[in-house]
Amino acid sequence: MSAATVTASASQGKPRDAARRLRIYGWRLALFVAGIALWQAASLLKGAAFYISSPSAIWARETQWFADGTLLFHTTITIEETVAGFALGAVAGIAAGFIIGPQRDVGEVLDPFIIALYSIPKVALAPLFIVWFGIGIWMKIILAMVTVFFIVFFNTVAGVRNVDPDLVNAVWLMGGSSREILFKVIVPHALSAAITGVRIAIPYALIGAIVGELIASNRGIGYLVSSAASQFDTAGVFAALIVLTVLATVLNSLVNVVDRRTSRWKVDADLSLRPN
Amino acid sequence: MSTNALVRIEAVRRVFFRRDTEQLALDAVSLEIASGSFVCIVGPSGCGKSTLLNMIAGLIAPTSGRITNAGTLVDGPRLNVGYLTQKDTLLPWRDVLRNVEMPLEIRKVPTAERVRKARDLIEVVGLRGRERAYPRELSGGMARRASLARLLIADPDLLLLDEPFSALDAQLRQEMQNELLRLWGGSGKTVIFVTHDLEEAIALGDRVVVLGERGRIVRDEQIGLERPRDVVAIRRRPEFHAIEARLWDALAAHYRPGPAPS
Ligand SMILES: Nc1ncnc2c1ncn2[C@@H]1O[C@H](COP(=O)(O)OP(=O)(O)OP(=O)(O)O)[C@@H](O)[C@H]1O
Ligand SMILES: [Mg+2]
Repeated sequence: MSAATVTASASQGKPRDAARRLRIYGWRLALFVAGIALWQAASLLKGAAFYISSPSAIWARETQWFADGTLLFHTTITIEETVAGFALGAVAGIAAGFIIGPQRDVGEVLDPFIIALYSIPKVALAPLFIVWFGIGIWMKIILAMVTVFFIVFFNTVAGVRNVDPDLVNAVWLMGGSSREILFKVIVPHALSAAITGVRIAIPYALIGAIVGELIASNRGIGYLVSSAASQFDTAGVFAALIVLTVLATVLNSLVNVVDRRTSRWKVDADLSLRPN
Repeated sequence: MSTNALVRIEAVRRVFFRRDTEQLALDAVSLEIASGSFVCIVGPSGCGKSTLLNMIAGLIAPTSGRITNAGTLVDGPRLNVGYLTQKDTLLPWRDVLRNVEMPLEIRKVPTAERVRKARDLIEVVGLRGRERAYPRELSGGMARRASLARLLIADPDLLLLDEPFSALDAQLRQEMQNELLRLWGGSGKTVIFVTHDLEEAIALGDRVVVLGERGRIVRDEQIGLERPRDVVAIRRRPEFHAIEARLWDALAAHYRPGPAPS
């Protein structure tokens, strides 16, 4: 077999794989249906519906929320917080990483403080942010932003500091100035590390926003969850959690798109071989 | 010979400090490289060949002694010196074409011109069709040839080549050797070529310098074989084997690989 056919079969999958994939999808569907059926059956037990609601009740709640605009309203709020917090945190993290990263002395002085700040569970900052920013949308944005900032910042700094000295030398040998070394070696290398950070940070932005909403809010999916729970409305809690699950899944697939777009030079073209 | 020396290495010593240990890599090495000559350096692993090239290139400084290039002290990289390091240093985020272009990009050569030159050289090293491949998509030998193209595009007067062809198969190596001789012939360029392969050194060089431990010169032989040469044909000459036997004896007599005890 020639090299070309090996790569082709590795990246496109053999016909045998297609059958296997179909079988796997079949099993997933079966498992899902069985789970729902079991849930529905269990809910019929006396008193159980109070704790676990039932798929039919949840579905009814979902369609009701969809019809009266509740779903769109709260989902939009959560997405706004997540996206704004994510964007601000990512930009600030990359900027700070590129400013502090190359300055070894400054970095060394700041290191313990940054680590200390990073080590604080961000959730614990929420009450403080309420005092500072109120219970409006900004408190959630800031919470998401702080979480994202640290992840992106650390990755960018590591990228700046771990540049292969042989690559720096190569550009130096070509007659490159320190400016050219910065823009042709350090920045591209660190940027790829920064993008890895950005990729990891995407789900954390959602966590930040939701935690903010759970703690103090009158809107957003986190609010939907906590307000339903406070009324012992289990169907409402599950309905909100399902919306959250869908949102998180969409964000995760966004992560894979970022991956595919940015890293042809370092990641195998065949992403299906890697766990995501 | 000493009047037209391009590179002068005068009593160069180089010590590496690692934590609390000292490693003497080169001890009192003196060598002159004539302008326009093709000099091959062979020697056991760890005898300081790469360290010597690093210093001629201006990447690192001698601990004591001095190196001059065209009469002036080497104190940093120079634009008219091309160095193919032992390890490939293609930028992984640039494809072959953009890597090969890079020296001209730094010299602010217009895009159209540098793309044209880069394509020509990619052709010369036999990588046509691979312009858009990223380094990680290349084999070791392909990466080596792309590095060579990147070196040649800057048109240096002094070429420092550290085992440029050792990753290539025998066939391709011979092709590249002939190609290098063709590019060098009549160009007036000076080549310092490091290799482990004695045959390669004799087939290519005007002169073969055999190093022993810590860069000590154990043999310095002028190769009187005719020019222009074909690397395959030249190996069949009886003189070739006589030279090879002499150099082999010198190499074997002083063979002690790895770091010398300090
Ligand atoms: N950066 C470094 N730090 C510490 N020691 C070094 C460094 N570079 C080289 N050395 C040491 O200097 C000696 C010579 O190394 P060098 O790389 O010049 O050998 P070489 O002749 O090129 O070997 P090879 O044929 O294996 O490439 C070795 O003992 C090596 O361990
Ligand atoms: Mg070496």
